[in-house]
Formats: sequence, structure tokens, C-alpha cells
Amino acid sequence: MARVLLYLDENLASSIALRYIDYLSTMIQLTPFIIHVVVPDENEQAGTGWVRRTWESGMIESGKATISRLLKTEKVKCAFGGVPKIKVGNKDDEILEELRITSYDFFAEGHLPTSRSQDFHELLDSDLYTKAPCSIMCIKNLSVSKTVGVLLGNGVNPETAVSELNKIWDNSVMDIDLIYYTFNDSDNLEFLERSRASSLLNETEELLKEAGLPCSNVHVITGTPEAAGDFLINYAFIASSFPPRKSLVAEVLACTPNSVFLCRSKKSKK
Amino acid sequence: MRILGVLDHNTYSCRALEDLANLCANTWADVTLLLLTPGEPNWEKSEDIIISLAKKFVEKTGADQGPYYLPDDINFKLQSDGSKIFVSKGKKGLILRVRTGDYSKEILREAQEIDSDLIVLGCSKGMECEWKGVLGLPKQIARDATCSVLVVKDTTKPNQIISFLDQSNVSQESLELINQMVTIHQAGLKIVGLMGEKGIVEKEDVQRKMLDIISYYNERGLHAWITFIEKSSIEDYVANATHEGMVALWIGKKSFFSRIFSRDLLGKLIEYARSSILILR
Repeated sequence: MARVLLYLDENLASSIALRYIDYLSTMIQLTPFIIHVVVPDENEQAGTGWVRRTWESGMIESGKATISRLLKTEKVKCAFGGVPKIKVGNKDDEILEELRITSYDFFAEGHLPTSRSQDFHELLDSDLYTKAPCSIMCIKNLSVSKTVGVLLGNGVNPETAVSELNKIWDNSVMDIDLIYYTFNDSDNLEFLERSRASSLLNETEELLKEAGLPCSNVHVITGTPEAAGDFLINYAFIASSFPPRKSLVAEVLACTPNSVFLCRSKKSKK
Repeated sequence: MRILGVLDHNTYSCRALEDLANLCANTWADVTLLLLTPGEPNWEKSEDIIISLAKKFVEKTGADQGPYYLPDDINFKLQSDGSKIFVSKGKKGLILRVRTGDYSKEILREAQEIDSDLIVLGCSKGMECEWKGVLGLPKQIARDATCSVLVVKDTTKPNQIISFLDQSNVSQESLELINQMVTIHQAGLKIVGLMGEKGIVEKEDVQRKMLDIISYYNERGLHAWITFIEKSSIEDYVANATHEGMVALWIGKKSFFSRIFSRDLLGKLIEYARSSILILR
């Protein structure tokens, strides 16, 4: 049973994340643990002692009410692990602290897809994404599919991707497709012969086999990151190791409106 | 729902007729098939053309099992306004109408008279989007109609419907039309929202509507997506989106699109689009 730390707030991104985790839990055995961070206004910071404690209690009550409203609105069916954790402070710092003190298989949060790929790159560069000690699922949409796509290309670490998928795969009913991507400036995505991919493809296939994970199809694609990103919408989510900064794989992950599972094993942590 | 199908005997109308028939087979809408003739009409020829098109329409909507019926003996009646009409009573209404005069005016007049929810008309593929014999007719109708308009381009079937949404008070009929387009073409649905300079526009009601729509489709196993674009890049994005699939634009009174897409711009969009366009009102 994979332990997921799920960040929620009262907005569209969180509604999508919550519904998606609920959907995913029907195919992968997950226990989501909710976390919410109340970020106080700079002017609102209280002093010390009981004044601060009273102020923090108020903030926590307000956070509890926010999550309670969201859960009531979304009416999801999955069983959560314990009561929501409500923190006060900087969002990234509080989540990182929670990830450090408690063991989770991955962290998940909603992130609405935009036409500005820069938004996704900034997310990848954030403290939370660079310092998280585990994998992160960035939920962009409510994808309905029983197949996970593993994106391969320059800079991808296949061992990390496979081992992190293996951690959450317990009794999963999902399939896996391998997608090997290379750049081409044509807007029309082309499907190439398997022989056009590097040894990374065979290596990943072998790793999946060793881990006992399924591999239904292999696609070798070439085109712009936008075209590749659109192709990836047919999967439940796209798994890949954390891509190198500004790499082509990072750009494809930025362009796809699909959810992205950024794999990081504890030993490969930055 | 009441739909007005505007037809002639050119190939683009065959394609429009196919989409219209698929739509009507699913919605069981009341339908008027309108044929326009220039100048002094050749009634016999016009009646033959519209009967032939109506037969194809009835066949494509399920013939005897479908909602529409066409008798063997069809007698048109001359109306006081100079048009000719035949009313067929099946499970749902099917009206054949031949009008003469200014095409644009006559289409809009017919749409108003029957209180149409949607006008469907075809146009040639490529950069012209023309209607043979009348310059810019599809553009004019899309711009000037007060109801929704589907301009069917004589091109390949879309595999994606790209729907732009910036207002929450979209009508149930509009959503139903989108639903039909997705179903008819077995296409995916991409819902595009707008973001301002400071990021995604915080309009809770619009966001809730987006979530409801994607959930609706996902529960039915259809791919539905949301994405957000910058307001400043909307024109380019819409133009590019027509390369990806059928574009559906809500041009409501409160809609940002009704402000940004001036009448001329809307015309250009129809003209340059590589696929069909659905204007929702």
C-alpha cells in the first residue's frame, strides 16, 4: 500500500488532485494522507507566547474548515490515512518538513496546466521539487486510462523510474507503455522504428522485466515537445525520473496537460 | 432543440449533412432543411435537390427506426413570403423549405422564424471557407446569427474538440452541443480557460463549471482535459487550435471572447480555420 502525502487547498487544482487520487486508488493501492498549509499574510504574523499560540490555533482551525469544505464538496470514496495535517507557515518548508519526518512513497499536488511551459520549469526549480526526498506526482488533469506512460530520452534515469513505479505497483491492474522521445521541429509527431531509439529503451524494458512490471507497447516518437506532450494525454500519468533542468524531456513534461510522476529514489535525492 | 440545416448541392453540404444527421440522430431535434436559390427560382429543380438531400438525411438518421419521416408523395406549398415549404410529421418534425433572395438575410430570417437553437452549414475546405456563388456566406452567418452556429469544413473529421470557456453561465443546450460533437466524432475534449497577467483567473464559478465538465466526460470514459492560456495570446492560440481539431467558442454576452473576437476577427477565424468551428451563443 503506497503512502501518499497529498497537498490540498480550496481551489480547482486541489479538486482535480483529490478526484484524481481517488480515481487512481481504484487501480493502485494507495493511502493518501492530506496536508494543508495555511500561509499567513506577512502583516498578520503574531508575536510570541500565548499571543502567537492563540493566533496559530485560529489559523489551524481555519485550515481545518477549508479542507473539511473541500472534502464535503468533492465526496471522494477513497480512505484517507488519518486526519488532515494542518500547518501554518511557508508551504514548501512545511511540506518538506513533513516529508522528512514521516516516510511517504510519494508526494502529490494539483498544478493546473498552462500554455506557459515556464510555469512548470519554475515548479521543477522550486525548493519543494528540488529538495523533496521522494517522488512527486504533479496532477494536472483528471486522466482516465489504465496505462501509464514512461517517458524516456536524454537525461532520464531508467533505474529510478522503474524502481519508483515498482514501489507503488503492488497488485496494480495498470499497464505500462514505454515512450522514447527525440526532438524534431515538425509539428506532426512521427512514429519511428524501434531501432532509432538509444540503448536506454532496451535497458528500461529489461529493468521492467526484472521488476516483474508489465510492458504493453513501445513507441519511439519524434517531433516538437508540444506535439509529444499532446500525444501523452492518452495515459493515466507520465512517469520519468526528475529531468535535467531545461532538458527536452523537461520541456515535454511541461507541455503535456497530463499528470506527471517525477521519480526520485532516496539514494538519488539531490 | 430546433436545428436549421442550410444546404446546397455541393460536396461541402454533403459533409455538413452528415454531421447534421449524426447530431439529429442523437438529439432528436426538430429540423428544418433550407435550400436557397438565387434570383428567379427554378422550383422543380430546387424541390428535387432538397428532396434528394432530405432522403439522405432521413436515411442517415435511421430511416424507419429514426425520428424523421418522409412520405413518397411530397407536395410543397407556396407561402405568402414567396418561399416554398413541406412539413413532414414523423416522431420529430422535419421541414423542407426553399427560399429565394439574399442568402444571408434569408438564412437569418428562417433562423429567427423557427426560433432555431443552432444553424448548421458547410463550407469549402482550405483558406476560403466559401459557399459557392456567395462570397463569405459562412462568415456572415457565424457573425450575425443570434443563435449558435456550426460551420462544417469539408475536411477530415476532428479527433479533438477544443472548447474555450470563460464564463460559467453557459447554457445546458451549449453543453449538450459540445457533448454531441464529442460523441459524434468520438473525439477528446480540451477545455481552455483564461489566465490574466497574475496567472489563472480566480473565477470560482468558471473553475467549478470546468471541473464539472471534465468529470462528466471522464466518468463516461471520454478523454477531457483542461488547460489555461494567457489572455494576451488568445488570438494566436485559437488560430493554432483550429489545426488540432474542432474549435468551440462560447460567445456569450458576458464572455471575454465576445469582446476580443470582434465581428471581423470571428469572420477571419472561420476563414482560416483548418477544421469545423462551433460558435455557441
